[in-house]
Amino acid sequence: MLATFPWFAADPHPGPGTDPATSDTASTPAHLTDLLLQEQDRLRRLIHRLLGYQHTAHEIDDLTQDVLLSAWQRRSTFRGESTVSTWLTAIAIRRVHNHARWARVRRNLTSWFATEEPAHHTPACPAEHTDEVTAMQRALRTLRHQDREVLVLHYLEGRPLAEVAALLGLARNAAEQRLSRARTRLRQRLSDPR
Amino acid sequence: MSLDPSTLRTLAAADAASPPPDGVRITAATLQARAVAVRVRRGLAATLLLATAGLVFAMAQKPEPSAPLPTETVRELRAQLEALTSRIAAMTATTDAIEGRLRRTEIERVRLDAASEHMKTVYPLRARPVRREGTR
Repeated sequence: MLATFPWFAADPHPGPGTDPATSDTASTPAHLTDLLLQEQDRLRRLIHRLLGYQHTAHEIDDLTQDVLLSAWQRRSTFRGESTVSTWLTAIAIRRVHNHARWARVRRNLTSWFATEEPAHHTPACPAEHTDEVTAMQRALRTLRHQDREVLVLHYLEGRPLAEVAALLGLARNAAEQRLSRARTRLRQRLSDPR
Repeated sequence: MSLDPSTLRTLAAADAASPPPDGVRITAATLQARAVAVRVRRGLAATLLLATAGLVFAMAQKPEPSAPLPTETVRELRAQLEALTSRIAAMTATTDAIEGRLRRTEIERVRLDAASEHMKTVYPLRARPVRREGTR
């Protein structure tokens, strides 16, 4: 199917494509596109987690497409020092971070004119959810983006602290400090859900 | 201090209980269409920005000073202006002279009227004697 799209098939700036796992396949643009598209489910899940489980399918689709397109357009900058998956994760983190920042600015601006609090999209909780799970979902939703980011990457994505630091562009100590603060705030949210 | 195991379990359960909503499957065609849309949007934004900058620049420009007139034209205009000034001065003098004469005529008229009135009071007119027929 990809061969029918010359825009994706022709690559004027081919990246090195030295992904250790896929060095033989990522060297051609069509295969790189395949690799990028294969990552979309994982990216959707990551974006959903980073956004605090409260965005619509349309918004998540939008961001996932942005990440994949951005990766494709920057394919010449991929140095192959990490896997395609890690590279995409770094792009997704930056993109979601920017999205969250602009969303905060928009929310602040609209709060000057709005008389009521904007309603957040809250996914329906099935009946079998315990209070603890519901409290945890609420706590994750209300955490600051920076805190949620580091918690998601370390605890839910299972990435070691050094990798989290590299993905966030921080020194290891700074990442550790951020993780510690995020844990403290999560505990506070859980003990005092207001 | 890390999270305790029960909090970690709850975190994992909360994450598992909130799967991402179903979305549209992204294909190469989707990305291609999006790339075109992004280019069009950037092009429009750039055009709008350039147009605004051009408008602001044009509005900020000072009007250019007009070119100086040729020397000959200036000389002619100056001569015409001097001629007009002297004509106006002559006409003003004429008007003053006429005005003086009118004033003097008026004074004379008033003086003659007064003299006439005086003469009427000093020498009143007498009625002429009636001629009778056949009296000669």
